[in-house]
Amino acid sequence: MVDDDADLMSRVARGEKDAFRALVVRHEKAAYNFFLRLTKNPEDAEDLTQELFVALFRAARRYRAGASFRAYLYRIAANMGLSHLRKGRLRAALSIDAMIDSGFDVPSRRREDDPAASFDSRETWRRYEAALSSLPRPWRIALELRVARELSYEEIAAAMGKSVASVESMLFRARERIADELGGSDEGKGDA
Amino acid sequence: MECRKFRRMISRRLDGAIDSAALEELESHLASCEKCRRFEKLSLSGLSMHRTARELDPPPSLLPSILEAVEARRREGWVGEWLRFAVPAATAAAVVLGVWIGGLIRESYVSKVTQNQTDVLELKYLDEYPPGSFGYILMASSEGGGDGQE
Repeated sequence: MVDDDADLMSRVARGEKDAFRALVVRHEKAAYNFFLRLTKNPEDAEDLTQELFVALFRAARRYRAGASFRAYLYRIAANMGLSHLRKGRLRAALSIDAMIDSGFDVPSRRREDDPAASFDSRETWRRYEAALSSLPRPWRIALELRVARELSYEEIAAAMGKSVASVESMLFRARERIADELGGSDEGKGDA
Repeated sequence: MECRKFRRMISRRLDGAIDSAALEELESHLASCEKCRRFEKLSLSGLSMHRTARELDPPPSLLPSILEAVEARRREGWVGEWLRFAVPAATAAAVVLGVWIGGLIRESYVSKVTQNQTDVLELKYLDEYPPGSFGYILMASSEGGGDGQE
């Protein structure tokens, strides 16, 4: 896959439209969901995904095949996402319920036979999303890249311009904060 | 402090980035630490939710709009690329042309000026008074000749 992406990028650099189209088709869903998780707004996610691929097209000549393509792609994406969040260019973020209703949900929601489990699942998801949203932006991005996009520590480090140790530390601190938030709520509910 | 070290290990284990020696040490700690077991449970639950969340398909209009935007950039790019080379080339050509024309002007102007200066500096008429001039008449009269007396 990595070789294919690198090969496609070198063809894009030579101006081959089909190669670019293939790259977009291959990565657009992941990129769109990366931005959707970050912004919680489908229009923002759509705009950012478009900007990302335009930027990728323009950067094709500078891409060196030795580097991980995904790290390269998400380096641009992470910078764009951070810049977007920093500038406060966000449209109103969808509520968690609206996100869930639009299909962004944990699979157990579809357990129609067990409404209580569905409710618990939605409630837990809501708390998890709230905890995720409260994290510092770089931690959120690192967690998203690791957990949902399945980038390695090295790829995340390359994408975020950090050291591997720093990535590992961000992931740990993000999980620690989330566990505090989720655990605190459980204790509040008298969870044993 | 000790627990934090093990929780860091738990985080690495969730990412599949822990070696067997550390794993053994972690398991031994977890067997006796309720708080760390709870951290692990909550972290696993978060990981599971994050991973299993269904991802949305992008809107069908996204791919065509990306391709269209890139095509527009490509066209802009040609113009930009052309301008990038054309502007310095035109500037260089203008400079060369300017220098050449300047050279021609200088050459003709300087030669003319030099000729004039030579005429002036030669001071022909200071010792050879032009006919009809006051000096000529004076000289002619002093030498006992001249047009007027012939």
